[in-house]
Amino acid sequence: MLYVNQQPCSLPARTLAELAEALALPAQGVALVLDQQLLPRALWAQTPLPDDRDHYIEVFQLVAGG
Amino acid sequence: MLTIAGTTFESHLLLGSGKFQSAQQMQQAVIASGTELVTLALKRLQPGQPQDDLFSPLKALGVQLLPNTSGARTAEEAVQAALLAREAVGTNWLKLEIHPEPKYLLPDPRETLKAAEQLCALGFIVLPYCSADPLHCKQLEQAGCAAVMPLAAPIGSNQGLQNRAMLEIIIEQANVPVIIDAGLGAPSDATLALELGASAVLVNTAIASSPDPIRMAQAFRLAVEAGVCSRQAGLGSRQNAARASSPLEASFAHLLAGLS
Repeated sequence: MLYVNQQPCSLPARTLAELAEALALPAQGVALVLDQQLLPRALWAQTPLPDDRDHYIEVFQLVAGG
Repeated sequence: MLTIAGTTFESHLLLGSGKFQSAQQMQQAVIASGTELVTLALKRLQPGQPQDDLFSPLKALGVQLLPNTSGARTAEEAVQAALLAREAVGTNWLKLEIHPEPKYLLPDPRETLKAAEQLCALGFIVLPYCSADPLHCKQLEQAGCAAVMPLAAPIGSNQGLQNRAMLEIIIEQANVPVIIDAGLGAPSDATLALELGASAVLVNTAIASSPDPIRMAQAFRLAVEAGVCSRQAGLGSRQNAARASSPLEASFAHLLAGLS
């Protein structure tokens, strides 16, 4: 099972890049943490999400702020 | 010209992007303000509630993005937020802010200094939001911060330069740019800050909470330009007594005597 920001997520995704696409994340301004490890965007396509165990993904996005 | 960590900016106004009614209004305020540095925050995405993509439109305007660590309550959290921001924005520039208590949002000096030391060691260009304490600002400078950003008054309070006396000491002692951040309420506050010798000001609420934020952004641009010009020109000295601006020698008393 995937957990995105602590919510169970049933989107089909074999890699982190596929998950980002399924979540419709913008092309820039986003950071992903997989199982407590910050992963640069360049590594998303080659980062598998094997379903033999749970994965915890934290998604952060730029928002307005002072 | 404002120079921070070797990068020069024409504008001496940094703009916060929060509290605007829409992303479009914020972008129009950016244009009207003439700013070249815009702050942003990082937020944990709520599933099913996608945020506006602010990155692309702001980059299209040609401004540099300055992510902040808002939400961090400790140095450790701020460092984590900084690493996320660096990945999300693709910049090592950072507005460091740690304000754990919600009522006054005052920066925590101990945690801010601790985070600044760690982040400078990690290669970040650190611009810390900090207390208007000259000793603390000097410590942040010695830790390697590229600027110091002491508060004029509590964040979003629009109270103006309440910390003026301490800010003047900070400016006098600083070897890095002093950017007055937080609490400026009116364009005239910005002018005064620059006349006092601040290198720049960071404004958000005063513009975003105006009934006409775009017009107010323009007002702050003009006020900041006025402050820079005024500082460069130098103020005339203050006097207690009057000094005539027009010649007084040409007395008209004899004329009146002759005409009577």
